[in-house]
Amino acid sequence: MVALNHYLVLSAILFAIGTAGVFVRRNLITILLSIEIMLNAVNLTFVAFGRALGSADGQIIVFFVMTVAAAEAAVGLAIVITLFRHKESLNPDSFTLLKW
Amino acid sequence: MTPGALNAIVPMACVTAAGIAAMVAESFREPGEHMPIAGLGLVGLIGAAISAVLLWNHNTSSFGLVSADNFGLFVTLILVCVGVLTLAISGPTIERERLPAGEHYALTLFALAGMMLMATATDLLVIFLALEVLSLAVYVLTGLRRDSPVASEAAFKYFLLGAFSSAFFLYGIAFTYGVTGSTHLDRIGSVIAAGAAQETLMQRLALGLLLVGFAFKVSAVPFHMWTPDAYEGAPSSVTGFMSTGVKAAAFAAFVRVFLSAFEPMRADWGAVLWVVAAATMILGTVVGVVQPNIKRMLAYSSIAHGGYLLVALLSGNDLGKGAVLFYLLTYAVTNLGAFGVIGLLESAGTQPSAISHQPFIPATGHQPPNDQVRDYAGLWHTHPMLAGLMTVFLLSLSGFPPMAGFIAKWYVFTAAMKAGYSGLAIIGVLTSVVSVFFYLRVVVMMYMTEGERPAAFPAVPRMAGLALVVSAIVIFYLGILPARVLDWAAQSIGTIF
Repeated sequence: MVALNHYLVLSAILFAIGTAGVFVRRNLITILLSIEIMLNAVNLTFVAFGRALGSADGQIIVFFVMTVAAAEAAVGLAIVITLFRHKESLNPDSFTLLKW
Repeated sequence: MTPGALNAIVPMACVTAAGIAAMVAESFREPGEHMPIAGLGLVGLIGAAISAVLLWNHNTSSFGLVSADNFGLFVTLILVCVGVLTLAISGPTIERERLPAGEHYALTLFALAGMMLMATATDLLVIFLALEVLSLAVYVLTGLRRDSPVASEAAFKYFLLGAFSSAFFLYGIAFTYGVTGSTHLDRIGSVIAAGAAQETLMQRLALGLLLVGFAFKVSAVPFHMWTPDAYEGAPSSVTGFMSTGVKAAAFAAFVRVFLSAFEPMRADWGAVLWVVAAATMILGTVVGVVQPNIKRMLAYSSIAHGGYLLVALLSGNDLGKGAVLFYLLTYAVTNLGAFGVIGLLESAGTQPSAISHQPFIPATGHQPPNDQVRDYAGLWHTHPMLAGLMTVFLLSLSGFPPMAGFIAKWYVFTAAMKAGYSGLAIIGVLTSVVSVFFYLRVVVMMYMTEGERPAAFPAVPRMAGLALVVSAIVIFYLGILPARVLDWAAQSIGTIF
């Protein structure tokens, strides 16, 4: 029997992996993927809570989150393409026109 | 479904319809043809304003998810002001940068619809969706100058940190849902109030994650890094729009979530927010002092103003909640005015020859001209009217007495004193005094320094000029006779808390 806590721990680990990826990885696409991992960790949390609470809300929320994640990926990739056209690079360290 | 079930979403429906109309109009526009697309947006915004006024005091709710209470409607009206001013002042920027006008207006209107939804939503999931609707539109607006590497970089930084913070916000919603079994603010509030004595770790975690998400959106201090970059890289009219509109919407949701649903946990978030507010005011002011770029300077000023708003929110008494609304209105009018002037001046630099001889602005090292503080030298001699207006806006931002900024700050600090946050009030007053320095630096530049650049000024477009004059008048009106608007603000907070 897999209890609620197992799911929560798994999703917390996924969320941490995503967060670490945003900070550590040096490729814009991988950073975007890390954010997707974070969102999917949250999805897992919603589903687990929905099941534990016995209500369908958690599952339904996941559909909204998936839609948002797709829209975000579309806009994010579009911005990455415009960036790539200027510098021919996907390394975030090469974008230094604005002081961080 | 009862006939009136959709009433609460009429304002944002008007704006969305105008946005779709703008998009369609753009697709039918011949290249080079001038279309009054901004006019379409204006019609939608007027519709939103009228419906908001009609809904006033009715306290209607749609599906229990969106509630047109007076608080939400007041913010909606602030957002209508933001929208109208943005449409009016964005003309010169669009001309100069040759931005796609239809996309610019459509995205502005969609973002406004998202902001209105965020201000009136009473369900965490709807707040999240509204946040994403407005954020996605604003990310694109930031990077609308695709030929400029600065703009693309700004858009990416804004997007990255925005998406990152949304994930935190969403994680907070997930834990709130897990603890309370609902995403509806009323139910969350009653569950938390019932079990306030035995707070679980998860409840604190939920609170902390939501706080991180909001802090990013209002650019409070540990999470402010994106603000200066995004504000500097975006076209001026967009900067004005996002510094006021996004802030208004985010603060409306912030107030709604923290002062209603999470009010019983004030002991937990109060102390954190105290530190955040103090750090935001101090950092925004101190770093603002050394900025040579005027847009970056105003970005730090906007961070500092976020700090003052946090003080008002933290006070949480009736005075404080009213002060949040009044401050948001004042700040919207003042800051959009300032960015309107900046947008006009930017167009001044390239107007005479650069555009006609250069069909394509070179992609490398394209820096928008005239956005350094020293570019304002001698503005008084070349264009006294613009210099005068800029002075009004800057003095109001710094909180000089006859202007609206003074009254707004006065109410914030009074609320803080009444709530027992005298430390924060003192920090606020001190940082205001320091901030006078960097606002006055621009004023001194305009009046007392001789400019070296030739006085080549294009005529100010009538719409933009009118909008700037009207905002200056509103600033004086709110500064000298604030009673009526303060009354409305006080009335509107009475409906939800």
